Amino acid sequence: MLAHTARILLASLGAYALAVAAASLLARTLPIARIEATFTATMLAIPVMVGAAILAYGCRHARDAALWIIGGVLVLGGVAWMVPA
Amino acid sequence: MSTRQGSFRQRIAPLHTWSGLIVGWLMLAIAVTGTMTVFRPETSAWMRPEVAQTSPPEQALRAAVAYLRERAPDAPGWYLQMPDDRTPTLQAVFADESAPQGYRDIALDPVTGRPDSMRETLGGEFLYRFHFELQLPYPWGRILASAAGMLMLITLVSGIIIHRRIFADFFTFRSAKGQRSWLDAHNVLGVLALPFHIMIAATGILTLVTLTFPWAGYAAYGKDEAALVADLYPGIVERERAGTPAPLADMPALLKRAQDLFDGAPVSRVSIENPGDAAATVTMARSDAASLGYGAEDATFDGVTGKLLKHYRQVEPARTTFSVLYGLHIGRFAPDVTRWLYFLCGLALSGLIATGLILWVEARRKRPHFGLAFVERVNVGMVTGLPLGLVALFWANRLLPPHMPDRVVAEPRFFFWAWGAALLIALIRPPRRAWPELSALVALGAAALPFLSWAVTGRGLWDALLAGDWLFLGADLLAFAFAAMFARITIALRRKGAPPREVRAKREAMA
Repeated sequence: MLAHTARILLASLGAYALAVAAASLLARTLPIARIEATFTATMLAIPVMVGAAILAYGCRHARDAALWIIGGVLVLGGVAWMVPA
Repeated sequence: MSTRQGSFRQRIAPLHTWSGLIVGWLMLAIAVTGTMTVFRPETSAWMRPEVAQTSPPEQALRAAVAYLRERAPDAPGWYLQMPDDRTPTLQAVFADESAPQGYRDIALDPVTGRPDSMRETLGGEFLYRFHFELQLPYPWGRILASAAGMLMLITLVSGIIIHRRIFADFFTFRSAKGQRSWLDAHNVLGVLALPFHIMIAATGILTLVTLTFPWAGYAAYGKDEAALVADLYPGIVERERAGTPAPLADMPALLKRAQDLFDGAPVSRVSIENPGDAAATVTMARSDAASLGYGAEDATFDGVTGKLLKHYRQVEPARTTFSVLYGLHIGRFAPDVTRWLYFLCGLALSGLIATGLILWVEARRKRPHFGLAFVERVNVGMVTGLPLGLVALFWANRLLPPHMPDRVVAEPRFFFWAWGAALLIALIRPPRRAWPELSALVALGAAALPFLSWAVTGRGLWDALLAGDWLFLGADLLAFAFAAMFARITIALRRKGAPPREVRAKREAMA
């Protein structure tokens, strides 16, 4: 039951959070005009979210999925936080 | 305990099954109304049979602006969709506090510029709006539709992963084999138009992304929101209302100048901000009927002096990619053949969702429980209720008095009432009865529509054929095609609902 709930939350909220983190990092670091980086990052966020949802269910252990997704949010989000806007 | 046994493919299966069920009913409604929206201009034109005349764009614009000047002189803006070869009327949107939703979205006659010569109807705009707003208040409908689109995309991708023999199944259809046949149908509908399904789900999410996913913009611009807005909408010139009245510049002249700027391409949208004020601006957008990208070029003029303030032409690669993806979703670029392909692929997607929902029930038949019975019955109500709602909408369009009060909101009510009635019947009646009964109702309603329309408008199938009236001819033939499809479903289901052959043979032998 716990594992089920974990996978559902990882595939929804976790996937969205990972997309936000990845898009924020890309938007701040891509070496192109700000608006172009914004468009690029926003478009790439969609496959990131789909991939994260697949990952949430594809991992053998819910724990591994949590590690990848929450870890990804923290690492990508953390770097994005440190890079100036 | 948290281990999931089996292969990667088996672990993904529940993601497909459950995301599919959660989103299925909602997505079916989105897919059906979206498929109809492919023919939004044609639907609007069919729903306004009084409009027979067209007029050149300059004249239509002049007439519409004259009307808006008396109808909505204080509105902060008038947003006009110009007539073209698919739509004879001009569509106007403006704020109005007395309107149910706070704004009016009305069609104007291209000759008189007025709405009163034709029946009051939202036309194809209703189905278009429902497709992504789901009749819910802003922004909840759009957020829900986006979430459904994302679940749809996840369901599609996980569906591909769990599908073992994707190419072989393309050629496999085992009919009348119960669950196996539903699976085959589901696979064929899914694989046949797979690139379309993925494209339409992903690009559908993109159309609402400024609302649902503003984070990249916030990350790149930080607190500088004004710069973000300016970069997002480079064609727009923001001006504060001056408070001093001033007459609008000559619209047909501005239209002509915009067309010259656009290498002669027609103008599709005209936005007039602060009309009647000294700070008025007029933005003309190049029609995207002949190009893939959406909103690729516009020109903004001073609304009083007519001076060109800004001419924006999209060249940036990422933005262009975005607008092409957006354009792919709305498919306005599509010439006739492509448009029909969009329509057919939309039908395939609707069928994919419907068969998926049925399959969910079939796969669990061996262990019946309350939840299963409920899902099965709602499935019947949704799969037959949506087409029944469409039939009711078009019937209401022909039968309601042309100028009854609040007709604009009355018409869509019939869509919801018929859909709700189908759901109610499906919940009460046993599914093996409700399926053929409701399908028969759809078939009868659709088959009678051309005759009803003929009786009311005097434009029958035969006249349409003689006059080369493709709009009415196409609508009538499409109604007959759907009637035939649902009649076929009714017959197949009645046979299935009848007692098995051995029992029947025994009975006959005994009689």
